[in-house]
Amino acid sequence: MSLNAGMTAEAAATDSDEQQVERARLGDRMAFEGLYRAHCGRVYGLCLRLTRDPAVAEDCTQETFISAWRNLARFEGRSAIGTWLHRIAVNVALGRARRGGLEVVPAPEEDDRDDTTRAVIDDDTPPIDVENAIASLPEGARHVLVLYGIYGYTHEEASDMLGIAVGTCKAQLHRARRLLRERLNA
Amino acid sequence: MNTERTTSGGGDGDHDAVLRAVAQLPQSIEPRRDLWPAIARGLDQPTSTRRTRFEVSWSFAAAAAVGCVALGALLSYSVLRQDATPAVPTDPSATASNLPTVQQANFGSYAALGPEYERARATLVIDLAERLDRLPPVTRLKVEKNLAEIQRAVTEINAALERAPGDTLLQELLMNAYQDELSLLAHLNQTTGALPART
Repeated sequence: MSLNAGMTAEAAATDSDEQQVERARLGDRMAFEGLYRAHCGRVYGLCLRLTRDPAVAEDCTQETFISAWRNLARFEGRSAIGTWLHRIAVNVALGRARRGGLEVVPAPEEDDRDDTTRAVIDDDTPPIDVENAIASLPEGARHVLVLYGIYGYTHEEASDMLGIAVGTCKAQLHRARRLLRERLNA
Repeated sequence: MNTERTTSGGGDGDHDAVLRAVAQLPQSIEPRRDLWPAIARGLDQPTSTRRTRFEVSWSFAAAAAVGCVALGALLSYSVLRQDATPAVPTDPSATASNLPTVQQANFGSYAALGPEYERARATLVIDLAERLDRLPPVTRLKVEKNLAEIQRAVTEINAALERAPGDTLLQELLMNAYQDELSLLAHLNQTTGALPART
């Protein structure tokens, strides 16, 4: 039962992550919903880039937050809650891939592309679809590039999340950069 | 929205143009729909009930796997104390008829048991009745019981796969059950190969 039954999720969202985590640990669902509202975009974004399938990414996001709720007692607060959620999300997404639940999803058609997925290499070059170029990368290289390049994790953190050696992580990033450069310049 | 970057993405000093472009991408992407209602329902769902669908299959598969390991040890032990066990005449034809035939998987032609598997199994079941007959009665009963257990797991998982052909977990369980059976048959052949035929 919620300990703060009268509190709205919006009000909970104004609290810090630490306060919300503490209340959620005690069973406060409003606080947990606040955490969801604050972090769902980053979790979904990561899941989408790892799985390349919006429906699967939604499933992974749901599973991530359900798993987080059940394991909140194990969250020691040594990392940010966002990082902890990302670790769970990577486990969920990779677990799905290992069970064969993921299929290669073709890159979206030109009309389906969203401007928010476009980026600019530098001021002199026209916008290019970096997001789609990343989606076309081989799995290992893509996973490392997403964690390292987009979400800013170090090689040590990314390799730990992915269950690979740091050297492998660096090699995959090198490969990803090379392939990405080729594809963007093609 | 938490948009912090936990660490520097270009910690190795390789912020080239490609990585700069990648780093410009938004970390946050909003899902097409609000996922909270489904998550809230999931929070209410006890962990155990979420596994109901696989409970029976898991239990059979787990029992079969554990049985295989235990039987491996038992078979080896039986060989060592073979001399001390009195011979018991049995009816080989009865044993042979007890061994079920291979059941085809029900989840699509792409995953159906291939000819290699069937050849391997056919090789292993040659003289199976005679090989079983070389075992002490207690061991033999356990082997037969375990083979039946594996077949029951295969039957049950196959039935579940008919209802959910795309379920990868069930597919994996079925393959594991087939592999358990092959392992057991191989171990039986290897172990009883060293034993003299009972008289």
